[in-house]
Order: sequence, then C-alpha cells, then structure tokens
Amino acid sequence: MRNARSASAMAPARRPRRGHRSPPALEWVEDAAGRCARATVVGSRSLLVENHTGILEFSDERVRLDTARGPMRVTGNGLTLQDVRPGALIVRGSIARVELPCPGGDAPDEG
Amino acid sequence: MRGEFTVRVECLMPEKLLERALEKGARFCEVRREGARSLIVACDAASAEILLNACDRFHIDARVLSRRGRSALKGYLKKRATLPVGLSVFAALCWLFLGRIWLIDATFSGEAASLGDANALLQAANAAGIHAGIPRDVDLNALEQALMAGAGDYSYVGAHLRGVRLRIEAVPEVPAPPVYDVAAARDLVADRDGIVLSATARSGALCVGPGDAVRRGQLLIRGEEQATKEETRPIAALGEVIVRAWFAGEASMAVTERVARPTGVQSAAASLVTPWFRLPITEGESFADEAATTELLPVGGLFVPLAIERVTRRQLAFDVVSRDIEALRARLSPLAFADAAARLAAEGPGEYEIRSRWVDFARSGDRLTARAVIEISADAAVTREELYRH
Repeated sequence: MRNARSASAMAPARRPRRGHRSPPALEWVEDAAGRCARATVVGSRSLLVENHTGILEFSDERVRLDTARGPMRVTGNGLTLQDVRPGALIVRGSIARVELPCPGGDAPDEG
Repeated sequence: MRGEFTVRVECLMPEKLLERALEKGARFCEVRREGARSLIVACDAASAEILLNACDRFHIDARVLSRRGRSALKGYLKKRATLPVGLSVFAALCWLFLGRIWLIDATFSGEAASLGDANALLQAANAAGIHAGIPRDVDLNALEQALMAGAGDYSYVGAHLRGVRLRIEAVPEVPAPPVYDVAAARDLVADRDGIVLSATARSGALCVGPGDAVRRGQLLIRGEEQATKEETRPIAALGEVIVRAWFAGEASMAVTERVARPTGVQSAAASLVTPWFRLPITEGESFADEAATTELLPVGGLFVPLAIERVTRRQLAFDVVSRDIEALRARLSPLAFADAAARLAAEGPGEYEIRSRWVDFARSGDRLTARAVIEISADAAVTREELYRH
C-alpha cells in the first residue's frame, strides 16, 4: 500500500515565523521554492524526507531532522538512514510515528 | 551511488560529522547506528575520502571496515603490484621455452631397424645446425634432405616437430644380399655329420640324395656344369642340403647313497684352555668314523681367559641305501638335456629347427646314466672356406 502525503498537507497549521507568513494560497510557491520540508511515507518501512536542513539526532529508535519550520521526529525500531545527501534522505526501518513541526503545538524536540 | 566502502566512525556527535561531510559533497548509501558513539557508514570512494578527511581533521576515530568494487580491486592490485610483472616474466619464459627445440630423438623402424646408429644420425643433425635450444622454425624438409645425404644409408628420413621435441625417424637400408658370381668356382660340402632329408641344387651337380648319410666335409654339390657333351666347366655351386643331426648330452648319478647312523658309542675329552697353552684333563677315544662336537665352558668369568674345552665324539656307521629311481630320473633328465643343449649351442649351425628330443636311461653297476638327444634339421651345405673357418 502506498501512503504518500506531504508535510505541508499534513500540518494542521503553519509554524509562526518571524517576519514571514505565507497565505495558504501561496503554499505551492513555497513548496516549489524548496523551502518547505517534504516527507513521503511508503508503508511503514520507508520514509523519504526532502528539504530538511540537517540531522539533529540519529539512533536506532529515533531520528530527528531539522527543517525550515522546526525539527521533525521519526520513531520506530531498527532505523537506518539511506541515500543520505544534502537536504534529502530515506529513513528505513520499522517506523512507528512521524512527528512533524507544529506551529501551535509542542515541538517534537528532544525527549 | 555504490556502497564500496564501509566505514566505522566513533565520536560523541556523529550527526555533526555527517553534516560536515554532506556539506563537503559526500553522499552516503546507508548510515546505521552501531552504538551510542559509533556509526557504520556505507558510501562510495569519494564520499569515504571526504568522511575520512573530516575525521582526520577533527581527530575522530574512523576505520575502514571493508572495501568492495573497483576501489577494492584497485587496492588489491596495488598491493600486488609485482603480480603483473611476475605474470609477464612467466609468460615470457614460457614463450622462450616453448618457442625452442629442447629434445631431439632418433628412432629407427623397418626391417633393418637394428642397423640404425642413433649417435651418427644425431651427429649428422648437429652438423646440419640442429641442436637443443634452437628456435622451432626449422626447415624440416631441408633437414630431412641433409640427413638423407650425410647421415648414412637410409631409405627414409623424416623429421617431425612435436612441441619442444624434434623426432627424427629413419628407416635404414636393407643390406643387399651377396652377389652370386657364377664364374667363381666352388663346391658345397657338409658342415656336420647327418642324414640327408632333402637336397636341392640351384647350380652345380648334386652328389647326395635324401636318406644318404653324410660326414663332415663330404662333397654335397659339385660346382661344375656340362658345357658340352665331353666337357664340363667349373661354376659356383648353389643349393640347399637339409640334414638331420643329433646332439647328445649325458648326466649320471649313483643309485645308492651312504647314510650315517650313530652306533651309540661315544667318548668325551676335556682340556683346560688359556690364550697361551692348552692342558689336557681327560683323553677321549677317537673313532674311524665319528662326529665330534666341541663345547667351550668359561671358568674364570669375563676377565680371566680360562675355559674348559669339552669334545664329545660319537661313533658313526654308514648304511648303503638305494635312492628313489623315479626321483633320480627326474633329476637327471634336465641335466642331460642341458648338456645336449650346450653342445648344440657350441657346435650347432646358426639356423636350425628342433625336430625331436628324448632321453634314455641306462644303469651300469651303481650308476644311473641319462642320455638326452636333441634332433635338429639344418642346411648343411657350406663352402669349403666357411667349413675351415668354423
């Protein structure tokens, strides 16, 4: 089963950023400009993350990546990083949860 | 992206190291966490170099666990840089070895193969420039012609190249039979005693017929022919006179034998023996026929050379016992045939056919004699020169 969705579509609301707020109608412009992180989940074994800005933490059970809107967190078991290149990587393993940056809620920070 | 390198990195913040390497342009096939402080990174050669340089710069412990693909092959060949050189030298040596002739053989065949002289043939080949170590591009036809011309009397010479071996095959010429000169007058005489079985004269006058007994030196074929009604002229006699001849051998043995039997009478003598003298202790009686046994009995041990020599004599009586005649015949028969064969080998002709052989036994007095006879047939006609030469 292929279950693909974009981070921008999944996020309930945009994270407030200083001096920057795009109207919803212009989100595709931000997406096309590559400023918006995109996560593509294929089943529960693979997660493609594009446009991230860095690897904050990496272990067998947790991967934290920095994005333009804040850190995102992937938890599971036996996680590995594949095809790691600047701004993109694939997280493989048994993925249990993907937590995306939420401007209104708690950021998926450490712990 | 190929995972040719597998690198283990151990540091406190490996994520930072990955970020640094990614900024430098590295790409990683796979990143696994092995422990709290170590990462296993699979990447291509260029990325591995970037990662290792970053580790070196920040004094991070990094170790290449495995190498695969082209870089591994390159490293393997780099470590074995002498292998191509060795292979090249080996190939060159093989080419040098296989490109030359190292073995030269001479074989002979045909009816007169035993007349072939291998050394002479090889010397002739050597004179033609053929020796071990020359290149294989030898003109075999020229070699065959050179050997035919200079190696002796051969009806065929062939040279064949098989690998590093040059085989020269030659067929020696069959020697021509002696020329029959009809004008060289000669007679044919018998070279042995015998009974004529058949007589054939191809030239000359036959003097004997089948059933005649001939003696050694007797004229068999006279070398003359009728020139006119009154005159004869000498010619070389030619023909065959097959005679039967016998060669006998003998062997004899006594039909009785003496068997010693102890009578029971015996005597003993003892003497004290030292290295310097002998002192008789008791004297024993001696017998005409006796069997004596001597015993040496040490007296003083190892360091005193003193011993008693005791001689025991037993009186013997001899009985005359007849031998087994059949066993005696079985022993005598091969001895007699061996004697006859020795006489045949010493006096017989060069070519003969054994027609029969038998053995007779005769007893005279105490002895049994075996007389073996070998009957042969052979051509007895020889020239007088050949007769005197024998």
